[in-house]
Amino acid sequence: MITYLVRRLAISIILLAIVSLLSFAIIRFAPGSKTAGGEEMSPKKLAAAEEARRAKYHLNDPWYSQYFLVMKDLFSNKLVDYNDRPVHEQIVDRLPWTMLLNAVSLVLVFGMGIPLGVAGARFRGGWRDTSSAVGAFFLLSLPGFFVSYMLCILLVKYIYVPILGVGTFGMQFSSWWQQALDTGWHLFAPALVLALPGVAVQSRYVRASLIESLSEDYIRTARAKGLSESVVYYKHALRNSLRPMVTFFGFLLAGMIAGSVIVETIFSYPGMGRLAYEALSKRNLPVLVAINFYSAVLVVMGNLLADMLYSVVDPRVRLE
Amino acid sequence: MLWLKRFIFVFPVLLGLFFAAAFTFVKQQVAPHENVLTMGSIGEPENVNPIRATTTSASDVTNLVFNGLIKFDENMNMVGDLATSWDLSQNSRLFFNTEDDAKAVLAAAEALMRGRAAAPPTTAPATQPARLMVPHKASRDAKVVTFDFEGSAGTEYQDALADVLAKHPPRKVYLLAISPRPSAKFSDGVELKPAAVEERARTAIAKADAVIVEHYVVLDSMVQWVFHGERDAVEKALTALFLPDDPDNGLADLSFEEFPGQDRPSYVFHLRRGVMWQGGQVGGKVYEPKEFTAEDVKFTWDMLVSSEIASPRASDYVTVESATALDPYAIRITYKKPYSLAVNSWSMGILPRHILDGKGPEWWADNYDRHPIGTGPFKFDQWKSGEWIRMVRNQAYYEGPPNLDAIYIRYIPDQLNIQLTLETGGIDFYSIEPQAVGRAIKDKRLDLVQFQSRSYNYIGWNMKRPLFQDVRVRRALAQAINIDDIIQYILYGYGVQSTGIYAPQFYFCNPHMKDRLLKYDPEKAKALLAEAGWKAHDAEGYLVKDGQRFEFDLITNNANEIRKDICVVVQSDLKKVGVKVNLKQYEWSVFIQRYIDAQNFDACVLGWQMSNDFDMYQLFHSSQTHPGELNFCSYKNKEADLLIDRLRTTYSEDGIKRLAWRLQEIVYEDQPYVFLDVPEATVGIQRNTFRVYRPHGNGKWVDEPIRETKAGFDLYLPYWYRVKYPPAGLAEGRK
Repeated sequence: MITYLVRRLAISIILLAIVSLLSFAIIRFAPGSKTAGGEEMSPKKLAAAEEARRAKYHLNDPWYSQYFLVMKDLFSNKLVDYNDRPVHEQIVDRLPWTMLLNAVSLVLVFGMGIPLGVAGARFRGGWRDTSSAVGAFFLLSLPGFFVSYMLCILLVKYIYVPILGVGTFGMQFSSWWQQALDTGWHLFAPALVLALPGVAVQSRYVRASLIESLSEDYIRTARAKGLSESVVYYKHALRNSLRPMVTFFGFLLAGMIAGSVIVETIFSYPGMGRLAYEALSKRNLPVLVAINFYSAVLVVMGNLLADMLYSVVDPRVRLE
Repeated sequence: MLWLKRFIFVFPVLLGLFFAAAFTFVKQQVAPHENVLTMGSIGEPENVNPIRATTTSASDVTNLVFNGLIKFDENMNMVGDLATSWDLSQNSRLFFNTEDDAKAVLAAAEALMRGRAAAPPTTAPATQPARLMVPHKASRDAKVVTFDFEGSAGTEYQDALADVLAKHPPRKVYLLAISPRPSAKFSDGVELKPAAVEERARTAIAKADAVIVEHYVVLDSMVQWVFHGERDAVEKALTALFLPDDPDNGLADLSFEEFPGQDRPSYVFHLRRGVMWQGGQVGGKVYEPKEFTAEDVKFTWDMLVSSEIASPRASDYVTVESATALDPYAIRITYKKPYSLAVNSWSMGILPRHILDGKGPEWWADNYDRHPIGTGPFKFDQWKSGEWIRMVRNQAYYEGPPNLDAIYIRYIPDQLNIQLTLETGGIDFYSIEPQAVGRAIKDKRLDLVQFQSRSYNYIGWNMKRPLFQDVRVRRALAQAINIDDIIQYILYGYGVQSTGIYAPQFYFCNPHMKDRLLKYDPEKAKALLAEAGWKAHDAEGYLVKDGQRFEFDLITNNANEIRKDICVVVQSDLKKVGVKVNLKQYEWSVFIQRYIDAQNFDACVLGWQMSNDFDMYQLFHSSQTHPGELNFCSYKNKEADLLIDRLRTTYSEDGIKRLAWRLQEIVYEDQPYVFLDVPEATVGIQRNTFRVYRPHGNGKWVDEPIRETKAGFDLYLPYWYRVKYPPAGLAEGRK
């Protein structure tokens, strides 16, 4: 177990180094001025001032020394963006909101995906199965931003569900529990949009693996013992079908971090994804490099956690 | 594992209960509108320091927290803000070859000034007599005449002296600027620091027998000299030193500019007394209110041109030679050369010296840039990143306290979401896209304010391409495009045909342009094209000349739907006259860097925002046609150049009108752009919710509805009030 962990950590570090280098290179070599700050087409632009800014942020250095400088600043907590603002301060501001959103989404994915999958397997070929299959493929084939916009219009016009930010405006003077309930309420729409593709995939995974388990001998034994259908499904079959869901967790995390860029922007949610989106449109390289790096750390850690959970769910698997 | 089954059934029920609770709960808890105004904004600023930010989202905040020395009233006339009045004077130095020349010009100038002093006081009298200075020590044979003119500046006085100056021509004076590339080195390995550049360039200039008159270092990265002598010799000497033309070894950029004389205009601003800086806490320290003085103005200028702060606003201020506080309530700002627009730039927010002095850019970024303290009607209160900014009333504001308790700006980065928020009352006003105006008119919750925006869309022809060099071809293309169609189908009728380079809200916009507009006339377009040699047609019906088909690429940026639609209309209109247009779209920064800046395009669709200045130097002067400069269509016209140059040194309104009106005509005649449309803006405001109660001079206050002025519908935003919360002063007035 220990050697496994050490080896995984070593691999993770190499992986993170490659990811950070790649993400730096993509942003660094993308066209567009990094320091014009939206002033590209202003008659007031001053070549000397932009040159001064380029020099200040080392943009005239070769790319490898820029990369080295950025990473050094990142690890020594000195990284500032092109407005001299500390990058870590910005991320610390936004990260909790993104984690909260992703946590709620995860609960929704598992809370909705598993029952749908079980229903699909149990009533295979029936209307419940067909409709959940059609629903899943429908959701998967719709782009996230489209679902978001439709949901926004629907929610605002017909039901009062907030689609904006993390709290009712003007409620910042209420008591903490009121604000907490309010914030949970605000999480509904973005968390749902973020969860939908996950729910669709999850339900198909669960259904497939449950059907596989149901043809095993021990299920026949369980039924022969005279156990009720519920016990057969939930106690015997489902436990063995949980394995693919754990693997799925790793993919899900990466997908949600990527998805939160769009969802957070549409729902004006003050998370890290929106910070990334805004930094991207302003070519604010230090912020982007830092966000990419920390997202990669989250994904790598999520995968590690998933692999460890795997051994808990399936005792036959040993981490060596 | 049966818990899983239970969970599976209980979970949706729990979720449903939670949402039902929140549904009823939140509905009851939506805060009643207090006496606050809530604005919405798509973009969130990175900082709200007036000298470090350039975005409109930042100026939404800085306009409320800061004051400039001057501001613009509802007719776009310049009025005092932190300054109560200002005087303009000019110090001029002319260099002559002989002392006789100098004496003759001086005598004429003295006679002129005596005449002015005797004239009725409509023109300000000269308070200082002109005098002959001892020839400049370093100037060997050159003779120097110095004038001080009060109440006048620019080339207008030179016009008065034109006759005598023609007989006794002054020597030409040049402004030389060198900006070394960072980290570049001389051939002997010495780094190109300003000190080293200064030393070597000085030697080189002296070798070329030129005489240095003035010397400046700008932003630590550009060095400027004013000299007289042989320009070519100086250029040769410097080129040898810096190798500017070699792209691999290019160590520095050189630029020469002829000076109209050694004219140095200067403004004395008389400052308002008793204006107090807001108190507040920034960087963990509490600052008490303190009186605003000339030292703050000087400090603000120092910061604007400091290379450490690297202000993106610096370009307006590097032409300032010095800023000197004469006393706590007067400051003299002297310019290196005439630039009549310079005074406009003093609408810039003034920064508090007592808070910022001695702090570095990191301290600014961590503290002041995100929590500014100014002199304005509102005090910055709180910033919830990604959510909102709150500003509260400044009870001690010099014009009188505003009516609202607070102003919020909410940051909603999505267009649909922000429109929905306006409709549901989450923000109090916001602009409405043309396609949604029809729906908004029917919406009983909104009042609409409509006005002509200060912007236009255009098609720019790259005149470096042979296809567009013939003015007949450009005029033909302009008449082949149906601008009315663009307005009707793309702007839903909310727009008018553009009359050229200036916005009609300003006095320098030519009012007679309406009669000279090129109208849609495809037959005339065909005739003009035939005149230019485009007569034959190929198999597909397109025009051909010398075996070449009339075909070009029309490019624009892909995020702008209106521009993309314009491209489609242009493509189909031009097909009708036999011109093939291929459409291409690029992401904004690629579009700018690879195509516009590199001048690597045939024609582009773009738009300009028009500010309240008449200076068209960057956009249409023939010297601004290098890669990366803004005359990317390479428009060159000698008369236009002359007018643009003269405008920069003309200070009187009549003079500006005469020159600007003519400039607008010439540019329109030449059609470097097809001037398409001026869009009409629509703003939706919550119905019957706000009015204005504002100071109206001499301690009087006026109550009025929100209306569009030449300076925008939100000019009086600081004095808006909620009808539900009428201001105390208004209630008393009504009694």
